[in-house]
Amino acid sequence: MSTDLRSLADVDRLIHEPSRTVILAILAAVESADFLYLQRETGLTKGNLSVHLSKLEDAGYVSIEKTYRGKVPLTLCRMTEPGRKAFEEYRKQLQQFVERTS
Amino acid sequence: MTDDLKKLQLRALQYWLVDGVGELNVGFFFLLVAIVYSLQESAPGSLLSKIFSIASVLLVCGGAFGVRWIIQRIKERTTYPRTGYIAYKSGWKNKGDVAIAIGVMALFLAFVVFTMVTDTKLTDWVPVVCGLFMGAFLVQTGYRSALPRFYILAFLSLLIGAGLVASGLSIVFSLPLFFGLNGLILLTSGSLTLWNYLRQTPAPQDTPDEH
Repeated sequence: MSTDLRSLADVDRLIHEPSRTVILAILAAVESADFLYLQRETGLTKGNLSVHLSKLEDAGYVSIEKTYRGKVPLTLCRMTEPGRKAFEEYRKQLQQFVERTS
Repeated sequence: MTDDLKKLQLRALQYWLVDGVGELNVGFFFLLVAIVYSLQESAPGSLLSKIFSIASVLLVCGGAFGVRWIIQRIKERTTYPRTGYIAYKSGWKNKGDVAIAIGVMALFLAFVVFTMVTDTKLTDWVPVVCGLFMGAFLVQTGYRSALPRFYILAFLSLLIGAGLVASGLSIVFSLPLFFGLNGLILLTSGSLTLWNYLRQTPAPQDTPDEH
């Protein structure tokens, strides 16, 4: 395997899934976002988004807070510090791969 | 892919301005300031004038804190149930913000030096200074959000300020006119944006959270 391909193989597989990359990209830009916003932006079904968020939460990349806005339930998602570092590292690796191969 | 991610992040930053509620509130606040200031100046020295001068101070102080609170309450009823909620990071992390803030300070200092050197009456220039400050704030908003309508609003604000100074009107008329006209422009822009937003995003029928 060439060095270029090996560098791509080293990327965080948990982040290297399009839906989860999108979720983390959004959360990296804001303090927190709710379930509805993420659902609309990712285009995922509620069930799929829920599964992806659970995986990111299990990895410690995202924290999820269940709260209420008035009487309406609200699920707030925010990126944790390890999540921020992992996403930044992932971006760097991807960028380096693109630079080397273009 | 990186470009798509950047677009997603930009959309998240634009989200606060997507519904025009902010412009509507600030526009309404500017109209109130214009009305109270006009009433205050309508009969100088009278008891009513004194009451309105206190009211104008309270309005400006309260408005600084109150407008954002009102915007949040309106968004909770209109925007968040439709398209979701975002909380933003705080702080001066953007280099563009810092550059604009320094630019505004430099302009203000240049204005003070100019009035001192040319012995100009400071009050004559208040509308154009207000236009500069408001314009700078709107340019900053446009730059951060990449929404072109804020550059148009900035241009109009500066144009109104400069036009009022050029007209030679006394500050008693020019200042309420400045706030009144800008308030009307912001109300129009906000109304059009809100109308467009509500047309494109009907209210959801079920509760959003499934997690």
